[in-house]
Amino acid sequence: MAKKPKPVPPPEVSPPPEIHEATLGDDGAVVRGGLITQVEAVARRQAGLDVVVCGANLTANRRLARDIEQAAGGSYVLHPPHPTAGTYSLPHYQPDPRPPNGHTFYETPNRKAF
Amino acid sequence: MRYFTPDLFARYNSADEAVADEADAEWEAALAAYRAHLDAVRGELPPPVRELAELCLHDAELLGDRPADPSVAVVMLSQQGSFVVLVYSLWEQVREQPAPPDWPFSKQRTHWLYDELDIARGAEGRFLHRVLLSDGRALEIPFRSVILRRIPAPQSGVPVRQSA
Repeated sequence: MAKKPKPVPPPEVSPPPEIHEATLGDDGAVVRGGLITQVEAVARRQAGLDVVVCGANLTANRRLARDIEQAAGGSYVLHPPHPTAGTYSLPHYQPDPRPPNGHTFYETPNRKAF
Repeated sequence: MRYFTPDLFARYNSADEAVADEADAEWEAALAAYRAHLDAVRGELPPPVRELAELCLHDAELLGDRPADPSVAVVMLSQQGSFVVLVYSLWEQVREQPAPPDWPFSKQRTHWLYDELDIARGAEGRFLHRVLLSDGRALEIPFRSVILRRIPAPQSGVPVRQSA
């Protein structure tokens, strides 16, 4: 009797990234606040404040963070975590050149907001 | 730069998602390698050099880096409401690597991106400070000693005297 083929599990789909208000904590930590929409995130960035994109998928997080920063100001640069900013620092987009102030942070597989 | 190179920084910024993902992993490896390097040499650093190694100047705006004398380099920065002045006593002249020709980032309002502290091998008491700037230049400062000063910036600025 022929063996019944095993059902193929569906590919894992990670939920879409979330955007949160953000503030800076100790040792480079990014502290996430309330959940916000993309439109609210852009407005917050235009006001020079921080936001953070949280989620499991690095590429999706980075893409969304870039979209927010681009919508907020146009030209941007991505800064990887820096060694002296603290153990918990996150990569972030910011205007290029500054001002305005603030950052659009995002999570990576190794680095999370608090 | 040995760890946080202009090339890796540019690839981290790539619009090609696969290139950027790979650069993310490379950057994490560079961070770990640099921390291991610092841990290995920390005991050989005098206190001011150790303080320099731990100082976070990321995003500080460069106000000037003109050498005052062939044996002295002065770097002035503005960071979060204060001025930072670094005075290096040099054992060789500062070396400057120009920006890569395709450097895609702004060259206005140059600021400090990443730096690395190293010991010059084969010569006791000689150090190297490598700095990647936002305009793509990389500086290598060969120094014997350094003085760090942070000065609060005036709240309302300084009035400019009109010439007669």
